[in-house]
Amino acid sequence: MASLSTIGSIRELSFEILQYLSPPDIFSLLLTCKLFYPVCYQSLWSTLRLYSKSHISDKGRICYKLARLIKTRGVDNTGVQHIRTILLHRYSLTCTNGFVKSGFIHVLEELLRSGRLGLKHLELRYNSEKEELFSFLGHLREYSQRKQPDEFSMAIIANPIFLEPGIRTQVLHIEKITSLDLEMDWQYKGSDDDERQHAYGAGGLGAWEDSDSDYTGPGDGLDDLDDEEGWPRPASDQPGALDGIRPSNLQMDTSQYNTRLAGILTHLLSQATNLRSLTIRSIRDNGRRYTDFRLSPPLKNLQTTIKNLPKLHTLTIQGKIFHPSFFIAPPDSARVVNYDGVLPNKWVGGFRECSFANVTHLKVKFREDVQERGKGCRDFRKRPVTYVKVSGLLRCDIEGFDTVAPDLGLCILRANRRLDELSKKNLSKDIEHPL
Amino acid sequence: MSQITLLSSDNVEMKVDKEVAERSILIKNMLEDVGETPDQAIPIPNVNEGVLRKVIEWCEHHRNDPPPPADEDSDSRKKSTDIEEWDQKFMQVDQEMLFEIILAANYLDIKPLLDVGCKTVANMIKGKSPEEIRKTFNIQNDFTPEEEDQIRRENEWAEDR
Repeated sequence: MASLSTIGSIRELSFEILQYLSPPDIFSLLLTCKLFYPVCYQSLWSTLRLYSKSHISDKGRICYKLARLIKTRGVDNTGVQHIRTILLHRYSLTCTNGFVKSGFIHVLEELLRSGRLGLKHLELRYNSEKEELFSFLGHLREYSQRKQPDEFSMAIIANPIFLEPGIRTQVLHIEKITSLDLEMDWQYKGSDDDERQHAYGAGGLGAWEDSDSDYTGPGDGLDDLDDEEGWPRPASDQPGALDGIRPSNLQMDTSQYNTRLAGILTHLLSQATNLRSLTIRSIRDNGRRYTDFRLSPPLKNLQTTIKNLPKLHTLTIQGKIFHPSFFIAPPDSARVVNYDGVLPNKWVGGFRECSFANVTHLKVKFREDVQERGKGCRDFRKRPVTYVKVSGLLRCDIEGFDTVAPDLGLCILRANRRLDELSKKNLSKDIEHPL
Repeated sequence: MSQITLLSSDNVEMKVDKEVAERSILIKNMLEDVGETPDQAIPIPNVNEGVLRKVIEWCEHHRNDPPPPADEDSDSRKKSTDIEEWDQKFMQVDQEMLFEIILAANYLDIKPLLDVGCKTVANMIKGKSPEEIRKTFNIQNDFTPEEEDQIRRENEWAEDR
C-alpha cells in the first residue's frame, strides 16, 4: 500500500516534495522518523535561508544560531558540505544585521576561501546602500571567477540605486547574475552620501555622466518618448528641470533621478550577459503620475540594451516605468513575457509593432489608474489597434484591454493560430463574433 | 484520431487517444521508438487499473495544455504550491490513491502531474508539528527521546518560521 513512507524511501521523490516546503516545515518532517531524517537534513542545508519570514526584525537569529553551531561542532560535523544555495534577505541585513554581526559572514568567507563550500547559487535581496556586504561579495567574486553559469549564479532583488556602489566598485560580479528583480522605488532618491558621490562624479561610471549630459532639454530629437502631449508636468518638477539648478537630494529633480536610474539600469544590464530572468517592478507608485521628463536618449539606450540581452528567457515589467510610451521589447532569446501596468495608447502602439520573435507565453494586464484619467490626459482613449505583429504565441492571457484597445484580443487571436484552447477561450470571451 | 491500447498491471486494457497518452513522456518515447501506432496493447506494469484510469482522466483534461516554456529557470526558489481548481478536486482522493498517482506520474514521466501530486502532499505537511504530521500520514516515531532531543538541538536554526 503506497504511503508517504513509500515516497520517503525514493530519494528523488522526497526532494520533489521538499522543494515546496519552507525550512520550518522540513524541520518538522525531519523530526517525524528516521526515514525522513537524512533527506530532510540534506535539504535543510542545501538551501540555507538566512532569515525568518515571520520576524521582520528577527535580529538575525538564524545567522547567530548557525555561526554558533559551526563553531561548536566544527565544519565536518554539520551539513556545510551540502550547502548549494544561500538566500540572503533584507531581514538578514536589517539595522541589527545578523549576517554581519553574528560573524556568520566571516564563517562563509573562510569557507569560500578554503574551498570547502560548494556554493552554486546566491539569492541576495537587499535594500541598503551600506557597504558591509562588500567583503563577502569580493570573496564570492574570487570564488566564482572561473566558474561557468551552471556552476555558480546569483539572483539579485534590489532597488537599482542600492546596487550602484557595488557596480561602481566592481565587487558585484554582474556576469554571474542570472536573475534580476529590480524594485524601482519612485519615492526614494538615494542617501545624501550617495548624492555627493554622484554629484562629484566619483563613480567612474561614465555612462551616468553621459546620461546626465543627455539631459539637454528641448530640441534633442523629439519623438514619442519625449512627446509631452497629454502628459501634464507635475508641479514639483518644474523649477529644477527648467532652471538647471540641482536641488538638495531629497528634492532631487524627478527628471535627473529618472535619467540616473535609466543610466544605472543600462550599465548593469549591458554587463549582464548571463541574465535569464529580468523583472523591473515599480513599487510605491500609488498615485504617482507619469512624468514628462526629457529622457529620450537614456531610455532608448535602455531599450536597446534589453533588446540585446543574449540569454534572457523571461521578461516581466510591472507598474509605471519611466514614461507612458516606454515600451520594452524582449530580446530574441525571450520565451516568456509579462506586462502589468497602466498601459496607454502609445505603449500599445509599441506592442503592436513588436514581433516577439520567439515568445510563446505572453501575459498583459492593463490596469486602471484614476490618476491618469484627469483632464489633459488624452492617451487612454479607446483606439482600435487593427493588427499585431506577434504570431508565435502558444499561450496568451490579456486582461483589461477593452478600455484602451478594444480589438486587441481579436487581433492576437487572428494572428496566433497555435494558441491553446484556454487562451482562445479567454481571448474570445469579450468578443462579439469570436473566430 | 488514432488510438492506442494500454495494459494495466492487473491486465485490464484501456483504449486512449494517442495524443492523450503522449502526455506521458515514457509512452511518447516508446511510440517514437516503434515508429508507428502499435496494434498490441502497451503494458504499463507498475500501474493498476484504478490508478491508470485516474492518470488518463488527468491527461484527458490537460490534453491541450501547451508545453511549459522551454528551459524554465530551474534555480528558481519561488516554488509556489498553488494548484488550479480542477486539479485540486482531482486530487481529493484517499492517501493511498494520492501516493499511487505520484508514483505513476513519476514512472510514466508526466512532470506536471507529478508536480500537482507533490504540491498536494506539501500542502498537507505545511504548518504542522512533527506529531501532527505523524498522525496525518500514520508514521511511527522510531527516534528515542534522547535522539529526538539531540536532533532538535542540532537543527534548531531551521525552526524559525
